[in-house]
Amino acid sequence: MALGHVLTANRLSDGIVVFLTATSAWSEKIDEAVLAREPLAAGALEKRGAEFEDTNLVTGAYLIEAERQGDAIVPTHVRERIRACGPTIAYLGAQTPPCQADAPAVAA
Amino acid sequence: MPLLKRDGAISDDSWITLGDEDDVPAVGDVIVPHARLPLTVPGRLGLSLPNDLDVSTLGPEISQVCLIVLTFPSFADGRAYSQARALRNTVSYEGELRASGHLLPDQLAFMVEVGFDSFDLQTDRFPVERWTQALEDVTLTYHRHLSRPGQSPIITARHAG
Amino acid sequence: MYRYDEFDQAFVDQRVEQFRSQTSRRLSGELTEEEFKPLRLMNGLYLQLHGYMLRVAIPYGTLSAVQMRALAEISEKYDKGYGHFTTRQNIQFNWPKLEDTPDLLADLAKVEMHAIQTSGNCIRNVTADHWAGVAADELADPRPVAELIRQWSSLHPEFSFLPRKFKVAVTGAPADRAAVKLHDIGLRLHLNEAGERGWEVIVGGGQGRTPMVGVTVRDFLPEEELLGYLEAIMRVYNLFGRRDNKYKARIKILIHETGAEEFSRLVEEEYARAPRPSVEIERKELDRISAYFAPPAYESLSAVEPELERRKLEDPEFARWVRTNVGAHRVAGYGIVNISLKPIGGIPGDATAEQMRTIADLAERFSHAEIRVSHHQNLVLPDVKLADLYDLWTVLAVNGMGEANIGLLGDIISCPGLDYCALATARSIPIAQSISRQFSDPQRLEEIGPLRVNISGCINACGHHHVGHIGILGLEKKGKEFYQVTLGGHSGTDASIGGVLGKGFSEDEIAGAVETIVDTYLDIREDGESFLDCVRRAGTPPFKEALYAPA
Repeated sequence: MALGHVLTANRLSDGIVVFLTATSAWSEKIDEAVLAREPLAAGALEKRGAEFEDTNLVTGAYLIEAERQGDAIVPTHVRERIRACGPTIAYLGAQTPPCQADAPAVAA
Repeated sequence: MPLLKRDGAISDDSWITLGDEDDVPAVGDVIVPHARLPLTVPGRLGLSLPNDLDVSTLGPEISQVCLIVLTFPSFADGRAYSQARALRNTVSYEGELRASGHLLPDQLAFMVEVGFDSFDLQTDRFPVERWTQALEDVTLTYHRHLSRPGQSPIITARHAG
Repeated sequence: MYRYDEFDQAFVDQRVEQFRSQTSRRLSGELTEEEFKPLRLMNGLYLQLHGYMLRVAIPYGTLSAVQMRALAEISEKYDKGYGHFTTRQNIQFNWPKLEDTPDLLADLAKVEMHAIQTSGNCIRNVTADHWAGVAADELADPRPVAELIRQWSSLHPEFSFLPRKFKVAVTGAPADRAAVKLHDIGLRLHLNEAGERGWEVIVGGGQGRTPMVGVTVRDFLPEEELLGYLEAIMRVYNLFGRRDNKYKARIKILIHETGAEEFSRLVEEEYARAPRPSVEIERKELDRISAYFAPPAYESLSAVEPELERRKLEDPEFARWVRTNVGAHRVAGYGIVNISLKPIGGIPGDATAEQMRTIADLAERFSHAEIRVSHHQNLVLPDVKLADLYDLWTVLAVNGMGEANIGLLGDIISCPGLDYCALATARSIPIAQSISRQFSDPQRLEEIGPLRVNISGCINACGHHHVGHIGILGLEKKGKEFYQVTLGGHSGTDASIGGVLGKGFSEDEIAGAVETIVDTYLDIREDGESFLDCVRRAGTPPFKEALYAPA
C-alpha cells in the first residue's frame, strides 16, 4: 500500500483538471503527479498550490487521497477517480472506451 | 476613505462617522447610528442604518437627515438594494444615499439604479479608475423605477412618442 | 416568437463587453476567484467537476431554427460538438474555456441569446409550458408574460443578490405542464366570466433538500399588475429571507417559517405602499410583446388526415410513435411533435451538433422554424401538419431521435450527476442508461403506460426526483454510490412529493428494483389505472413488500 496525497486544481484559463508534478509543473495526467506520502510533504504541496493560485495559473487547488498502483495513481474516492479520468459514460469527445472510474480503488 | 459620487467625481469624505458611544464634536457634519436619534448635532446630520432595519418604519425624524449610509456586510448580501429603493420610492427620502461596506465595482450600476448616489471606496482592492469606469459599463436597464439622472428605462424609451 | 429590438440587442451586447472585461481582469489576477465567481455565475459560467460549464438561457423554452443552428455551431467551435438540454429548458455546454467564453457569448448575442442569470442568487431563466401557444387545452399563450418577466428580471438592480436562487414558471393551460406549484413563483392563467385575464400567483414551491408544494397568494391578479406584485413578493423575500444558512434561504423556507398567511399579509402591505409601474405603459408593453407571439398562418385542414391513417396502418412503429409522441394541437389538422432525446441506453437530454442541425432543418421544413425545449429534456416541434408526420418521423428515426417513449418509462429525466457535476454525490446518467436498457421494448413501455422516472445525483434535486412517479436519488456512503427510491411524486396540476420507500440500492441493483416496482404495479393495477393512480390508491406497502420482503 502506497497511500498518500496528490494536489489537484483546475487550470484557470480553460478549467481543465490538472495535478502537480514533482517538477512543479501541472499535468493533465494524474499518473504524472507527485504523491506525498507524509503529512509534511502534503502540506508543502498545498503551499505550492496556493502560490500557483496567486499567480493565476490554477484555481481551487486541494489535496486528494490516492495510492500508487504500479505506474498508475488511483484516488480513493469515486468522485476524485471520475474527476481525474473523465465521465464514465460514452459521450462525444470521450476517450474510448470511457473511463472506468467505478473500478475498485484498491486492487483485490 | 475616498468617496465616489455617481457622476464619477472623487473626493475626500468630509463627514465624521460616530459610533454608539463617541462624543459629538463641536463642529462638523456627523453620521450617527440610527439608535442615537434624537440627537443635536453642530452641522448636518447623517444616519447609518443597520442592514436588517425595515426602513418603511422610519418616521418624521428622517426629514432633518441629509445623508443616509446603508451597509453591505458582504457584496453578496443584497438587502441594502431593497432598503435603498424603499427609501427612495416608499419613504420618499431625497437626501444623499451612500453605500458602504464590501462593494464591488461591478455592482455600482445596480446601486445607482436603485437610488444610491455616493460610495465609500475600497481602493486597496481596486484602483480608482476601475470604480469610475464601472459606472459606464452597463447603462441600459429594464428596471421601471430608474434613479439614474438623465436616463430613462428601456420601457419608457421604447414607448416614448 | 419574440425578436430583440435595438434596446434588447444593445443591452445584451453591453453585457457581453462587461463580461469580457471581467474575464480579462480575472485572468490578469485583478479579480480573485471569490470575487469573480458571482460575476461569472451571473453569466451562466460554472466551474464543474472537469472544467467550466456554460448554461445558456432558452427563455421559456422557445427557440428558432436559426438559434438552434447557432447552438450547434457553438458546440463545435468552443466545445466537443454536443450540448445537454436541461430540466429548466436551458442548454449546457460542458467543456468551454474561460478565455473563450466572452467570444462565445458574443456569438450567442448575434442570434439574440445570452446566458444571463442562468445561475447565481438571482431570478433565473423563466420557464413555461413547452406546449405554450399550441396546446388544445390552453386558455392563452403565457409566453408574452414570460417575456415580460424575462426582461423585467434581467439585471434587476434590486434583486440580483437575493438570499438564494429564484425560479419562476408560467402556464396558460389548466393541465400543468410547467410544474408551477414547484417553483419559487408559479403563475397560472385564468379567465373570468367577462373573459378578462388574471394570474393565479403560487409562491414557495420547490424541490431540493426540502421539497414543498407552493401556496396560492392571489387567485386572480390582473395582468397589468403582475410586475408590481412580483416586485412586492421579491422585496419581502430579499429583505426577510434567511441569509444565515444557504439550505434555508429559499423563499419556501421563509413562507414555512413565517406562515403563509403572514407572508401574504407582508406582501400585500408592501404592494399597497410601493409605487407601481403605470398600468397604461405595462399594457402597451404587453401588447407590443404579444404581437410577436401571434399564431402563424395555419391552413384550414381536416382533423382527420387519410394519408396519416394509411401510414399508421402500414407501419406499426410509426403508429406507435404518433400515439406516444404527438400531442393534441389546438388547430385541426396539426399536431405537436415531441422529439425524444432519450434513445435506449442514451444520455438523457444530450444532442450532438448534427442532431441540432437536423432539428433546425426539420423545424424550417415542417414547423414554422420554431422549436421548444421541454423540462423533460426533450424537444418539441409545435406546429406540424398531420400530413407531414411520416416524413418528419423518418428523418428523426435515422438520426437517433425517433424513440416512441414520451411520458413513458423510457423517457427518463436525469441530471448530469457525478459524471459532470461538482456537487453530485453519485452518478445519474449510468442509472438512467441501465433502466432504459432494461425497458427497451416499446410495446412493453406502452403496456405499462404513463410513468415518469426522475433521477437526481444529489439532494439538490436537479433531476426532479421528488416529483418522479418513481424517483431515484443518488447518494454516497463510505466512498460508494447508492440510490434511494421514492414513489408517488408528481409535478402536474395535482402535484405531490414522493415518499421514500426504504433502504437504498446499489448501482447494479437499481434497474432490478424498478423492474420489481413495475411488476408489482402490473400485478395490482385496476382496469385502466395509471401507475401514479395505483400508488396513490394502494400506497407504498405492496411495493415495499415486493422489494424488501425476504424471498
